[in-house]
Amino acid sequence: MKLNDNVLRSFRVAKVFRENSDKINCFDFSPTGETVISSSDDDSIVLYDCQEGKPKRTLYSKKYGVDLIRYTHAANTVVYSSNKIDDTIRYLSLHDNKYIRYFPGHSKRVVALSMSPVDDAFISGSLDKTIRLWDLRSPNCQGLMHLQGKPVCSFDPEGLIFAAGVNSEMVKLYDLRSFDKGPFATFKMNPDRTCEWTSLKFSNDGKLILLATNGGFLRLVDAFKGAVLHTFGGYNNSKGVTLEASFTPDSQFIMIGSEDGKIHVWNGESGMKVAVLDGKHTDPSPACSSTPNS
Amino acid sequence: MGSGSIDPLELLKGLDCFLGQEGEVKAVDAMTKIYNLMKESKKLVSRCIYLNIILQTQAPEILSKFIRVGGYKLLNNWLTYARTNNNSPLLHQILLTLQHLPLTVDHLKMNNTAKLVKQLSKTSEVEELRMLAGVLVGAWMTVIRTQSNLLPPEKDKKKKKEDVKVRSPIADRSAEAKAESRVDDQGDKKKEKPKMQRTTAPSHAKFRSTGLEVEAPAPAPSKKPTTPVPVISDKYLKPVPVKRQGPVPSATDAVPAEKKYKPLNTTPNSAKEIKVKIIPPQPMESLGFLDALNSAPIPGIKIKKKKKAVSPTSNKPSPFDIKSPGDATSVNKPPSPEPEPPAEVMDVERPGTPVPAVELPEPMETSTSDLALTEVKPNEPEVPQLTKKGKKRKTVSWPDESHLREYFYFELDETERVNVNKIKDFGEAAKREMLMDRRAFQNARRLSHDAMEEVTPWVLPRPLSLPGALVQVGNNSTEKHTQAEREMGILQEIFLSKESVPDTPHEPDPEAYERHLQNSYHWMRIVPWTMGHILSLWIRAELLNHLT
Repeated sequence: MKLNDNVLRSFRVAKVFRENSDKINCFDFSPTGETVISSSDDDSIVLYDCQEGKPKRTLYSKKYGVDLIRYTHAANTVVYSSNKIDDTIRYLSLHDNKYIRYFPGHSKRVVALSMSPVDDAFISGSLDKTIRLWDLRSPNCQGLMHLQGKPVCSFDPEGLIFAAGVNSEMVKLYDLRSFDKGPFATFKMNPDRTCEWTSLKFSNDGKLILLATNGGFLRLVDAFKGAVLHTFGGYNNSKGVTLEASFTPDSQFIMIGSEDGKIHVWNGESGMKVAVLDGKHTDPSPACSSTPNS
Repeated sequence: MGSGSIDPLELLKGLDCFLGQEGEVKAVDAMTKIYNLMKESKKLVSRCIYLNIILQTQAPEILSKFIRVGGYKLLNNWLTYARTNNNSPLLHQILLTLQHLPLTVDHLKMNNTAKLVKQLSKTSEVEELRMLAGVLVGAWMTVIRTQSNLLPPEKDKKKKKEDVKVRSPIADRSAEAKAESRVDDQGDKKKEKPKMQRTTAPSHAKFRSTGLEVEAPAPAPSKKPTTPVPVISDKYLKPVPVKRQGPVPSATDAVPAEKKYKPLNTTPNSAKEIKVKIIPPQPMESLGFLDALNSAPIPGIKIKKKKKAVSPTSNKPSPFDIKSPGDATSVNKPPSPEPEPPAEVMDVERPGTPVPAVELPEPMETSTSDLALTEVKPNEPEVPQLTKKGKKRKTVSWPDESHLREYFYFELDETERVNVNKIKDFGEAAKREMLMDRRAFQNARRLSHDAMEEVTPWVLPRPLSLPGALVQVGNNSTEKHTQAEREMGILQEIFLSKESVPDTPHEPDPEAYERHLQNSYHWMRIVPWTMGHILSLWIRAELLNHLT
């Protein structure tokens, strides 16, 4: 099946899960697209089976809290940031409900976490104005970058470079193999003081960068030239909620949830709004993602 | 007499004309003169002689005369004087004299002689004096007992008349004292005394001592200056029923008095005499003898009242309710034209008079000599209780001490409503907030007419036709193999219910310490931020290379 505007418009809610008593702050599809892992403000971690459309397993992290949950390449393992007690990143095995490793270092809340598509590295950005590079095999930070503001960061789809958004005005690209030599590219944007960047994502083809904000618009940036291709707006975010935007797997469309529970979809090439899907959410939908390949 | 040394013989010679063969006073008239001389005597010798003369005198009427003219009071002065000077012989002599005198309860109550003697019987240092005083006290006690039972003490009329004159003001005062606390009363008494002394005594004086003024107006004023005691002695006096069998008082005298009492009358036909009811005060001090002294007369009065009073009366205002106004008015008519003024005057003069104790339901025609006894004063306060028309006046009174405080007990009502909206702590507030959110959630869902029921069966999502991936995901991950191996050796934790899931996963195995150190120093690289930063890092790296 190939996605196009009409197909997207025909999307309907297929299943509603009500496993959580509080806001779901993040979820992530497994590399194979067969499962979804979700984290919630009620400190629960719920695993859904996409094949059967059912919740599969629930774990609790009441002691440390859970946010920004990500699959690793190992099946049944996840990393997530804590939002209680400390700002340590934790590596958890869903198999036996046991932590494999802790990654201490950040001194303030972690706001960005990205797993390398190819290996065991991951990067994290925090309100302590640092970005750290980690390896799942070691509790020690592999790299540290001090910034002047709140960072957003992400790996590219090939796992060769990572991008850091700084001060909501610059995007810097680093080569993972030689990041200590500095960014090989810096894109400067027109600063918008009315909002902050809340997430940075590469499209699956690696050609586009999506910058989500806590304001009322999104920016689509050319990943090679740094030019702003489109600015998408027209959705509600009056309260400055951190909304998560994402690409469809084919990199053609951009989706974001909104304050009224609707999902807005734009065509990345034309920049036109394709559809507003009724997400049946009664709350803002801060998390929105799509399967990698199905 | 009082100047210079006195020869007892000379003195006796001078007195010769008054004395009989035994040295006694010859006649009643002589007694008065001797009394006057006694008053003047300041010397111990002369006083002793006079006392001996009295002792020698046996005739009761002469002794009574002595008492009446003021000898008793004089003796009181001397007693006080002797006691303060601690003059035992004189004291002894005075006690003997007192023993010799035919004293009545009235006399005993007149001043503090009784009290002084009683003190002497207890505290005197001289054994003889103590005994003598004790005997005297015993004798007086018997007098009190007998006289309180026999209502009218036997006295000759003449004496009584005079006694009444002297006593009436005092008796009045003591009646007041009963109604009030004594201490408070004294002020009133003092106030009143002058009034009494005025011959122009206004209505109330007239009213009080009905008929007395007519008979013997003179003696009263004459005594006043010589008797400083009354004020003090009032305390020890009780209103004694003093009967006066003298002539029926003149109309002018009686009228005002009766007028006042008319409203109080219950039954005009039955009431033949003035009823006097005095409320006995609660004894404030419990000195056995004095108590007996003070309380003695009361029964007598009561008895008298019972005899005479046809309708039961009480001193409280309430009894007035019972009385029919009609009676009062009917009685009112006969009296003289000036009925009201006296009452009003009384009110003005004695605004603070305590609760009255006397009722005099006596129509004028039938009034007898008993009128003389009337303790009119206590009545006065009652007069204002009734208006002209006989209607009851409103009164303000203090409740009993025991009723001043009121306690109410309320039982806890289990069904009483509690404020459930009151938030007690933060946790509860948070919980409430969450519940409210959920409710809002459900409301919104209901409003959207979406039951959230599963309408479309879950189908396996169809795969998208995608351009070939840039990389094979997780290709270079070694951790996936590590974890796969680990999972092979460890059983999966299976939870049959959500409740069995622990709140937090198991803590990780401890890390190797060496590796920790190694990483922190060698593996961690600083990501440069600016060109200058890069330069400095590069220089540092070069330096490090050189060093190593």
